[in-house]
Amino acid sequence: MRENREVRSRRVLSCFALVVCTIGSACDDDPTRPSGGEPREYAVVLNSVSNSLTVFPVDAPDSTRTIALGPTGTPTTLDVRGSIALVPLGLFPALAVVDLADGVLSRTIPLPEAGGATGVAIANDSVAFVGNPELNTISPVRYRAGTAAAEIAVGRYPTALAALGDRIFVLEANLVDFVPDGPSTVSVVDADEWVVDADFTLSGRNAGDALVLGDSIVLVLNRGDFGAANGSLSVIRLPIAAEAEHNSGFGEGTGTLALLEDGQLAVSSWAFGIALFDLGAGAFTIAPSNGVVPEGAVNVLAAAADGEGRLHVVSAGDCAAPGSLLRLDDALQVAASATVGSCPIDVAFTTF
Amino acid sequence: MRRLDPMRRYRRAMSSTFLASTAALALAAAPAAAQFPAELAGRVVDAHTSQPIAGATVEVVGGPGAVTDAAGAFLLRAAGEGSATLVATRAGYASRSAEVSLESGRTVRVVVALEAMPIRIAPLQVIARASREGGHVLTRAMIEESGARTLGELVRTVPGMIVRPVAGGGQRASVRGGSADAVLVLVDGVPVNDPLSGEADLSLISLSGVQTVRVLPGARTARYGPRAEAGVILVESRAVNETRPEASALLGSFGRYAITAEAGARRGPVAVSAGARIDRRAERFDYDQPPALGGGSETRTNAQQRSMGGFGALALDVAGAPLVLRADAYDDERGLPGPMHATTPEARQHVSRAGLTAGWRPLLAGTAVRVDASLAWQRMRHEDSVPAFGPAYFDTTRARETGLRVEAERLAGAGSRIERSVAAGAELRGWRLESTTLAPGRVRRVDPSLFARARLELPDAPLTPAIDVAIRADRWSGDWIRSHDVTLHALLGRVALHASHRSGFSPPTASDQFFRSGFAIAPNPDLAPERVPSEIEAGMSAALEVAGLPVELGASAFRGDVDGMIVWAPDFRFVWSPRNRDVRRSGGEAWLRTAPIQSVRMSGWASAARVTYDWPGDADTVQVVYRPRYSGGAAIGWQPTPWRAGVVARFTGVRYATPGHANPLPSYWDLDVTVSRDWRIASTKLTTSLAVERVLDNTDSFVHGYPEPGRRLRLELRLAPWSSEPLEPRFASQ
Repeated sequence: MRENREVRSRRVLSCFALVVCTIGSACDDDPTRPSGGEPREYAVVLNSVSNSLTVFPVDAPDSTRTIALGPTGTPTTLDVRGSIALVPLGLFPALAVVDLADGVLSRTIPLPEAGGATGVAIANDSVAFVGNPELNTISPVRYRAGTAAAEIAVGRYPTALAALGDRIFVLEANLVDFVPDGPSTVSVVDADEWVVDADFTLSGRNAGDALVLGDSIVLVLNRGDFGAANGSLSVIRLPIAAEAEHNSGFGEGTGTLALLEDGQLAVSSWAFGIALFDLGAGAFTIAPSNGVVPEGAVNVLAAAADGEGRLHVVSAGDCAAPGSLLRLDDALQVAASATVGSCPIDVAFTTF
Repeated sequence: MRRLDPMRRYRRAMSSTFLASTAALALAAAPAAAQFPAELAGRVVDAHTSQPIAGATVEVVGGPGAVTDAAGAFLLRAAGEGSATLVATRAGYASRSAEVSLESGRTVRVVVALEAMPIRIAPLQVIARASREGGHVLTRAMIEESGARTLGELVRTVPGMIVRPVAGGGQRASVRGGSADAVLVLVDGVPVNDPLSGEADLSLISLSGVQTVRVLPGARTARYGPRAEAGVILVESRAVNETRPEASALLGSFGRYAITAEAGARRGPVAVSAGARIDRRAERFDYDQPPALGGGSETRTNAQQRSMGGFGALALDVAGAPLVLRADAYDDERGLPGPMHATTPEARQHVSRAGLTAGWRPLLAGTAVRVDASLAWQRMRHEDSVPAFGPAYFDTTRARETGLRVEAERLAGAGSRIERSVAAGAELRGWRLESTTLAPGRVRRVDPSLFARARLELPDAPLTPAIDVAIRADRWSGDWIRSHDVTLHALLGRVALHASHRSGFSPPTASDQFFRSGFAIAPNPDLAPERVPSEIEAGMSAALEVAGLPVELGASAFRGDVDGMIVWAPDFRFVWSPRNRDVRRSGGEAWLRTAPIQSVRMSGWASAARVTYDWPGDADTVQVVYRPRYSGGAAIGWQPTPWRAGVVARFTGVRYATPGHANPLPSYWDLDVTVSRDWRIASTKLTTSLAVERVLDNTDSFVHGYPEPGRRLRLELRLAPWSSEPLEPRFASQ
C-alpha cells in the first residue's frame, strides 16, 4: 500500500511537472542542454590530459559541461558533426563516440591494437575514418553502429584526415621513431569504396592539420621538424590530386588552421601565438615573427572559427591547471573566455 | 625504582581496570659469557595455559623495548647496571612489572606469565597494532598468521597505507596520499628504496627472517632521513640468536610455489643464522577485455616471476660490545606484460641485489653508541625487443650504495621528576649509478646528514606530559635542508594523546632528473625536492570497556601540504616530464578492535586522504590522480585452538585516472579468507593453512588497464619448533 501511494504520488508530480513545463516551456533551463527549440552553436574543446570534452554554447561561455572520455587515452584530435563528436584516444586504441546533446560518452569503438589512434574525419552520417599511425593504416568506422572495418593501408604515419566530398585526404607525417624522416605524403581514399585512389608527396614535413575550404581545396599545415622553425602550408586543389602550392615561413610549433570571416587564415602556435595569412595574396599579414599572443593566453595550441567566422584560440597554459578557450575580436583581443579542462589541445564548432 | 613513562602508566592503568589478578613472574639470572651491556632474554606466556604470548610488549622502564615473537620470546640489551623495572603488556592480559638486576656481561633470563583478562582482545592476524609513535606494528606472529610473503602483502591492511600493484607483480606503497618515492623503507636501518626511481618495490622484500614491521605515517625525515616525507616502513630482522629452525612450502593457483627455510645456532658469544627462499609463479590467466577494446577473453602472458634470495648473519663480541654482520642477496626476474591496451609480450625486468650491513653497539662512559655501516650493489636490466610503442630498448643500470651512521645516546634523570635523554649523530650516504637510461651515463652523490633528538618527560606531573624533539639537516645539491619533529604526549584518563609538528622532504630521483629524453618524454634536471614544511598531526588511542566489551580504538588527523610534489604531466607540447606541483593534503585514520565473545575478534579501520592540486578557484578540489580519497577495511577472526579462521575485507575508494572530476574509477572491495590449524608432531609444530584471496572473484584493478586474476588459492605448510613448550628449563609458574 505504501508503495502504491508513493507511485501514485510520483505520477501526480510527474504529470504536474509535465504540465508546468509544457505551459512554461522552461522545464530545462540548463543552457548547455538543447532545449528542443532552435539549434544552437556549441564549442567543443578537447582536453588532452583531463581526457574529456568541454562543451558550451558559443555565446554562453560560463555554461560549460564536461564529458569524460574514459580513464585511459591520449587524445589529440576530434571531429564533430551535428550532435556527434568523435575522438581517437591515441595510445588507447579506440574511438570515443560522444553524444553532445545528451552530454554522454555513447560508446567506445575498438581499433587495431597498438595503432596509436590519431586523426579522424567524419565522412557522412554513419562512417568516419580514423588514423592508426603506428600501423600505417586507417580504419573505416561505422560510428553509429559501433564497429570498425578492416584497415586500409596508407602512407607512413597518418596523423590527420580531412573529408572532402566522397574523398578522404589522409595526411601522413612520415615519422620514424617520432622524428620526420622526409616530406609529408597524402593518400586519397574513396570514402565509398574504401580504397586508396591516389597518393602524392607534399613539400613540407610533418603534416599535422588539415582544413577543407569549400568543395575543392584542402589546406595542410606541415609542422616541420622540432626546433627547426620550418613549418609550412600546402594547398591541395581539386580536381588535381597533388600539391598546388607550398608556402613556407610558418615557423615553430604550429597547431591548427582557422579560416576567418574576412578570408584570412589564422595559424596557431605555442611558439608565436597567432599569425594571419592572406590566402589570396599568398603572404602573411601577421607573420610568425610578429605573432600575437592574446592577453591572458599561454601556449596557444589550436585555433578555430565559429559559424560566424569569429576566431577562437585554445590557451593550454602549462597544463598544470585548467586551460581556457578565448574568443578574439578583430584586433585579436580577448572578447570572451571559457574555462575548460586540463591541457586543451583542439576545438571544433557544431550546431544542433 | 624508576618511574613509568606515560604510555607505561597508561597500560598499567588499563590492565588494572580490566582485572586485578595475580600473575606469575619468574626470574632467573644465569651467568653468560662476558659481554657488554647486560641482556634480558625471556619469554612471555599465558599464566594458565603456558601458551606463548606473541605480540606482547616488553620494556625496561626508561630503556629499550621489544615485541615478543610467535614463541613469546624477546631479547633486550639494556644500557647501564643495577636495578631496573621490566614491564610486560599485552592487550587482553593484565600487564605485569618486576624488578630485575642488570649486570654487565650477564644475561638475565626471564619468564613472564600474564593473567588473562575475562575477555581477550588480541589483534587479528594481519591487523597491525597501534604503536606508541603513532604508527602501527606488525609482529612476527602477525606476519606468520597473515600468510604474507612480501612486505607489500603485509602492510596493505595498515590504516592509510595504499599498496598499488604494478605490472609484473610489483608493489608500490604510498601513505597519506604521498608519492611512492616519499615512503622510506628501512631494512635494519638501511634504505632499500630503488636508487634510480626512489620507490621501494615491496614485492622484492621478503618477510623471511623478519621480526617486526613498523609503519609510521607522516613526515619522519627528522628521525629517519630523506624520503621519509609521507611515511616510513621499518623492517627489523630477527636477532641472530633468536632465529629458530623454520621451513615452509607454499602451493598456489596460477602456478605459484614457494619454499623458505631459516635456521640459527649459538655457541658462546657467537651466534649465526641463515635463510633462503625461492618463489615462482606463472601468473597466466584469462581476463575479460573491456568493451572499449572489443570485448571477449584474452590470456595474460609474460607475467611469470622467478625470485630467490637468502641471508646470513653473524653476531659476535668485539671490544666488549655486540657486533652483528649481515649479508642479504636476491635475484628477481619477471615479465612486464603491460596494460591490456598495449601488451608487451617480450618486456622483462631483472633485478639482482646484494648487501652487507654491520652494526656495533658499544657502551662508552655511560653513553650508548650505535654504529651502522652498509654497502649494497644492485643491477637492473629492463628490455623489450618489441614494445607496443616506440623503439626497442635494452637498458642496464648498476648501482652501488654506501652508508655510515654513528649515533650516541645518553640517558639522564632516571628516577627523578624529570627524565630525559639526548642523542646526536651523523650519517653519510652515497650512491653511484651507471645506467644506459641516464643521459649522463653515470651519476653519483654523497649526502651527509647531522641529527639530534631529545626526550623529556614529567612522570609525576598532571597528564604525565612528555615531549620528543628531533632535528636533522641533510645536505642536498649544495643546500642544507632542515627537518624537525616535535611531538607532545599526554595521558587523559584512559586516553593517550599526542600532537606533532613535523617537516620532511623527498629528493627528486635520478631517473626523474637524468633519464634519456625520448619522444614525448623529457627529464627535468631542475626538479626541486618535495617538501612538507609543516605537518600537524593529532591523535589518540584508548583501551576502554564499552557495554561490557573490551574495545581498543585510535584515531589521528593530519594536515601537511606538499610543496612541489613531483608528478608526471605533459606540457603544452604534450611532452611528459616530472614537475613540481604544490599539493594540499589532509586527512586522518581511525581504527577499532573488539572481542564480542571469547576467541572472536573484530576490527575495522578507515582512512581519508584529501590530496588536491593547488589550483585556483574550484579546481583545487581535484584529487591527485590515483590517490584514493578513502580506504579502509574490516576483519573478523575466530581462534579456537588449534584452529584459526579469519576474514579480511579491504576497501579501495574512488580514484581518478586523469586530473579533474571526470573519469573516476569505481571503488571496490577485496575479500580474503584464511583457515589454518596447528598440528603437534613430537616437538615440532606443523601449521597448515588455506588462504583464498579475492574470494568473490573480484577483478577490479587499482590502476585502469592492468588485469587482475581474481580469485587465488594458496595452501601453505609451515614447520617450526612447538612453541608452547618452554624452551628454558628454568621456567617456573607460581
